[in-house]
Amino acid sequence: MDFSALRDAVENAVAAVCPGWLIDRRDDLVQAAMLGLMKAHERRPMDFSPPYLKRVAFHALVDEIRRQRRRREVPLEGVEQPPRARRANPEDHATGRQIGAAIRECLDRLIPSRRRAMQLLLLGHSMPEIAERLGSDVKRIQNLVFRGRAELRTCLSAKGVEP
Amino acid sequence: MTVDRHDPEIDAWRDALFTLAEDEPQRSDCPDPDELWAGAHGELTPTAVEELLDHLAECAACTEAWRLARRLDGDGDAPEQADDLATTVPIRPPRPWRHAAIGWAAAAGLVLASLLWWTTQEPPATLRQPQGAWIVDTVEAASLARRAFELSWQGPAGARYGIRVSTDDLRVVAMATDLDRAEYLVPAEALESIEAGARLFWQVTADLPDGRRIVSETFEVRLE
Repeated sequence: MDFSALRDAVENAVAAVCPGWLIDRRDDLVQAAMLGLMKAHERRPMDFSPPYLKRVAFHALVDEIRRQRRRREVPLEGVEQPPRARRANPEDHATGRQIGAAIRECLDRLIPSRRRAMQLLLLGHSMPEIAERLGSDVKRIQNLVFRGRAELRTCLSAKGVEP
Repeated sequence: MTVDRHDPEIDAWRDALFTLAEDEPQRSDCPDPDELWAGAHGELTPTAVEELLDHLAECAACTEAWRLARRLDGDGDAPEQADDLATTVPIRPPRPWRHAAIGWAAAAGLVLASLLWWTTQEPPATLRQPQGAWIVDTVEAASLARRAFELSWQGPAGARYGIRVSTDDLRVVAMATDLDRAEYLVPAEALESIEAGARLFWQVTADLPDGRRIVSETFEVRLE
């Protein structure tokens, strides 16, 4: 197992997916992912296909992100806290948060079937993927998204969030 | 009628939603990362996906993690290919069924039926889709109950609608004209002789205030 090449791959992946607020902790994330991969390799040395590698790296990343999030909530004296992301424009971030909160509230008002279809769309899934994950057909998903989006837009407009 | 997952409005909503993850505390009921990975990659049952999505609705951190799972696998960033996209619904003039299984004889019968139906209406000024106007089926269920067989659609503002519902052997089950709402409840007695599970086809016309008429494509729904 070429861990040097693996580390390069993990570094590139973390660079692509690292949340903004953890940019300064990217090395920690890479280390966590590498540790997870090495432990997995010890357990299953023959099973190191790329899909499995990604899965293991993801697991380690999420565990580390959750750990960092918990550390932020429990400040300990003498322990360096993960810094909040330094932003060029905090006002933009605050506005984004307000809009994000409004979107979440409006999503919550949709009937479950429409909300779930919209959630998957907002998560970047295509219509066929959404249909597959929800055990439905593309036609029905298109209708759910069509109506869900219209309702979302109306709700956001009532909250003063315009396109 | 389909929506592009990379539509600018969808992108803006997505970006705004993901800003929530940064400041939210870590919840104690978050699912195992393996489950999030499985959900993001289509490895779970629909019921399990629904439960995950219900959690994601309240947890920005897991929403972010789901997105990470897709990006780690190279999904979700590239512009969509056109295969499952159609940003407009083409409005076609009346024509034979789209379903190849019907056959030419049935198609000819439908053309005749359409002509007979149209001759009872005012001749349309045009059948081409006007800019920005369309008729789309908004029935969410794949099948409808006999006593609640309500068909609905989205159409141009100010239009008066006509609708025709037929069986797959071209027998007209119900018709209505001059509807001022984009919905129609098929009378239960009209469906009495239709067996459960049968496919029914329906088509809508919209008469616009400017005198033009639009004809929708043929939609399909089953009788429960």
